[in-house]
Amino acid sequence: MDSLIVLLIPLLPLIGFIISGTLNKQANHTLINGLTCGSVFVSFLLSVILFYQLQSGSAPISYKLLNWIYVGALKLDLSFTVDALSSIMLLIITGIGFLIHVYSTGYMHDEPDYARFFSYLNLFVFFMLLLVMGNNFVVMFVGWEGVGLCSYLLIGFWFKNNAYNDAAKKAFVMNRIGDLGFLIGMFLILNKFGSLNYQTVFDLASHAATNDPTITVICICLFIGALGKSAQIPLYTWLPDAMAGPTPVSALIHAATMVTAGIYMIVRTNVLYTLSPDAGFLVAVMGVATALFAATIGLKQNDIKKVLAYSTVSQLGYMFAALGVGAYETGMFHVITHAFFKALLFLCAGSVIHAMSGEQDIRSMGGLRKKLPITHITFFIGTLAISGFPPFSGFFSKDEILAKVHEYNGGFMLFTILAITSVITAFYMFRLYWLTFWGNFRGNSHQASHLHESPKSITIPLILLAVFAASAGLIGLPHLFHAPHLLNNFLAPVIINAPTLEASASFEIALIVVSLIVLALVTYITYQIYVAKARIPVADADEKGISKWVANKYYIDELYNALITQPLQAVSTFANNYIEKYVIDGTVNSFRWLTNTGSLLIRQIQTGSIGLYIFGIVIGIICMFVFKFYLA
Amino acid sequence: MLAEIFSFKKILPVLVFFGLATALYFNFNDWSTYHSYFYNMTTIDNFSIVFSSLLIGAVIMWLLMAGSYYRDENKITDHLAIICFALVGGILMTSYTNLMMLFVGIETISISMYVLAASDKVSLRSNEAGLKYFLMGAFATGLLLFGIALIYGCTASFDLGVIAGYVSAGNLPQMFYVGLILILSGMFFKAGVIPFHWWTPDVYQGAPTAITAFMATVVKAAAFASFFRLFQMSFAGVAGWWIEILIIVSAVTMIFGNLMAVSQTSLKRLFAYSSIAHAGYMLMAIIACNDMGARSLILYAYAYSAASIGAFAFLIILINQLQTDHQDALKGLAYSNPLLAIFLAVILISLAGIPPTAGFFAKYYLFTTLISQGYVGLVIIAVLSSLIGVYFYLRPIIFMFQHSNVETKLKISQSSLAFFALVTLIIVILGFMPQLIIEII
Repeated sequence: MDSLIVLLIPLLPLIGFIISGTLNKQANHTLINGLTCGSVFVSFLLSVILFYQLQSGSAPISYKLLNWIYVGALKLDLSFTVDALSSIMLLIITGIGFLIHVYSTGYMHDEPDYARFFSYLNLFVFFMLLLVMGNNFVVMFVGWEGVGLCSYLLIGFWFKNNAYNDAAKKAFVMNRIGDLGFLIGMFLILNKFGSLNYQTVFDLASHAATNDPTITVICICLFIGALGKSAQIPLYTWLPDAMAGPTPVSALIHAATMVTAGIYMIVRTNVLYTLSPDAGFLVAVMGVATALFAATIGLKQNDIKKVLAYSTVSQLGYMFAALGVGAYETGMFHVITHAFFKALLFLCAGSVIHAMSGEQDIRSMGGLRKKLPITHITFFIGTLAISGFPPFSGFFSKDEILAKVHEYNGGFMLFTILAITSVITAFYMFRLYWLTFWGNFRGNSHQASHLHESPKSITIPLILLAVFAASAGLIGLPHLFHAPHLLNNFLAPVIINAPTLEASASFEIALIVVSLIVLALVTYITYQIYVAKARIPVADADEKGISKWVANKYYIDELYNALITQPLQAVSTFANNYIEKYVIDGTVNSFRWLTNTGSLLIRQIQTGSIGLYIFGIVIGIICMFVFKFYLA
Repeated sequence: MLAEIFSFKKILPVLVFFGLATALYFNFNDWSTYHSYFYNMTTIDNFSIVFSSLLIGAVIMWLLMAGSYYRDENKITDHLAIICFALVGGILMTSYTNLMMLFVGIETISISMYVLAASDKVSLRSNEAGLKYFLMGAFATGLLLFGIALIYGCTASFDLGVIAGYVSAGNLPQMFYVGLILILSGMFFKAGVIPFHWWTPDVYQGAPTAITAFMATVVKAAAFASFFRLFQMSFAGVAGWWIEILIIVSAVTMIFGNLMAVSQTSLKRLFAYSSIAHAGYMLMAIIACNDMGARSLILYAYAYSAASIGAFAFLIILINQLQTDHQDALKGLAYSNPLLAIFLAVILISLAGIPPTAGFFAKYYLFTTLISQGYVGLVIIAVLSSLIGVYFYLRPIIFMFQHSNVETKLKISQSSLAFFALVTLIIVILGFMPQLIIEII
């Protein structure tokens, strides 16, 4: 029964995809809603059942579908295993996935390609489930590629706009770079451990020596994969562009689930990372650097979704920082809280955009709190959560990360940067909040007349997510409350040999007090700037000095273009004009010429004259005799 | 079993059909019984049963196909009689254990073919084909008979087993080897490999298409069955000596057969050269000279016969209705007769050896057999030459799918279409389940 549930969880969204994918454009919306939302909802219920079984101490539940790849010594099954880690991911994917499906029924209501959108969403859920449920690296890789595909399809959902297609391609290509790292990592694992099955690899690895150079290389390769999927420096540039997709997609794929696949992978392979402190340090440094870097860009963005996108990149950096120092549970904790509040923020942004008739520039907004009360309140909760106001969820996870990084040997520098980043985070989030919901409306009269609160299908998911964004922190209370850390206890079987980093109670109290003061200060300052003095950001072209630099995202896109894209284009232009034309075509054509000419020559001897034919036969016989009797 | 076939001669095709079906049934009745007939001159073993089933099956298919060809001709009775006669020769060629029986079989089938090739009395080319076939065939028969005589001179026996015993005793005289080369020459001629292939294009093109179809399937399969049987049962002991010749002949045949086919614009001639090239591949099975070789030869013969009979059935329709077999006649076929074009495409793809058709697995199995015995160089040549084959087999497909606004629409009866569907089905089934044939013996 349990194993059947394991099979059904990914199967239902797949069925939803297949059916809704084959429906035509005129298909009844109710039918599509029932099918796609229903399948994800049932998957969610099944995930809850599995979660409770694991909660009550059950062993991981597996289902083997088939003997998949049996080549030589390599034996890979297409099988699923649900343990504590996958179970949490299942809840996030199907739970938030379901809410976003519901939200989309309202948000995409007027979309002519309604069925296509929902079939892609279901396909995404299927692949994401595959990614977290596989019991070996190859199944994870299939899911990994599958979500990449769906991300591509959904970013370019409005494919009539070429800029959106470019964004989709960019996401795909950037992810491919990471995928190469993942693949090489897999090959190295296969080479080192002779298997790609999690259980086998981790069992073998737990007896391996620390600082084994091969394991370090494996970890770095896998981390490159994570860099692409989870949008970290230097492969982060696709995520802001991915905002071209419909907003529910940004919320589901580019905030709550897919981008956390890199985190999931590292937590899954925590045995390996624990064995390689060097790789761990690299992960932490990259995470901290990305967190700061993306946060500063977020300060100067004026597109409501772009701000959130950079914020996502930055928050993912926090998670990597936690993973790098060996605090895997803490990383997962932030994945959970972030999934709630970032999905919430994105959906609120979608609701705002919906009300603004597609306008995304915060300079044209303002004062929306009166017209969009529910969106306003829920967005405010999301802002408090991400900024880390106690007792909202972001506070607990972020403070835990800060505390763990602080305890990490030599982590003071990292801690300082992360602490500064959290101030910046609060700053850009409140800037966004004040500019959008307070002050006077700055849009045109058409937009003003059109402002309205979104329908129930949009607001109900917002309210539910807001509840979780506010309360999810309770699963990981800090030590000083003397309550059990529910998440850590639940995840304990999955995390093997990780170092223990415990902050003292006095440090935690200090952290809470300081962060409260700083947050209050930031709130006050941003209120002064953006509401009291109503300083509206200027156009990008009018920015000066360093802020111009920041507003242009440090010119990273331009840098990549000049350093990588242009030389590559030059090489491929050369190859197209010369190598393709002369070498490849030339070779092929000369073979064709040789064949045709040879054929024309040889057919000449077939004259039709019997005398010649018999002569030919005799020659043949003589040749045989000469060959066997005189040459032998 | 054989009498069964005779008793129905000179009766309508339907009766022949049922006669053949009965023969097929009795044929399988003998499975694994190993009976010997005619004072040990023929032995029915599983190899011969599989091959004679192929021959009988091919004649049944031929009958289904030729029905339309003979619809308005009055010579069908003669033809059917001769065809059945030729079939007897073919069956003897698959089951002989005595050189005399081999010779009788070869002559039975050859003489029938001489007559049939010339059977279109008003056509000059048909007469020419018959005469050419006869003259050169007589020459080859002479070589074969001379070779048999020399072997008899050494061994004092026609029996394959006795000859094999003689060979294994070693210390063979020069005369034996001379005889072996002459027998090889005769067999090469019957199999139509280079440089003994000269008759093939002219005879294939000149003979009535239905007869050409018979030659390309039944005669070819019988020739290779007898070839394989002779060299595996009698001369395996000196395989090292004659295999070298076979390797060269096989390589030359594959390369030049395919190469010569490239510049043909007449489809009938194209299939003639293609049959030469396929003979080169089938020679490879004889080089293997073991059970795996036998299996790959059987699979290859089944795959090739099925595809050829389909291809020639198409040519009969084409020539009947358009009076041409030029490849240009195919233009636009995919638009005027889409179903037929698809069937023909499958047939051509199988001939070219592209998966998932029978032709591919026949080649694949043959090549793996040869590689497992270390003939890697020959396999490389075979693969390269089949690349040339892909070139000219795909060309008719390209022609068919070219849109050239032709009004000509071939009139295809439902039964012909069903026939093509059957052929295609066989090709595809053998492509997905080659073990049906491979694992039978």
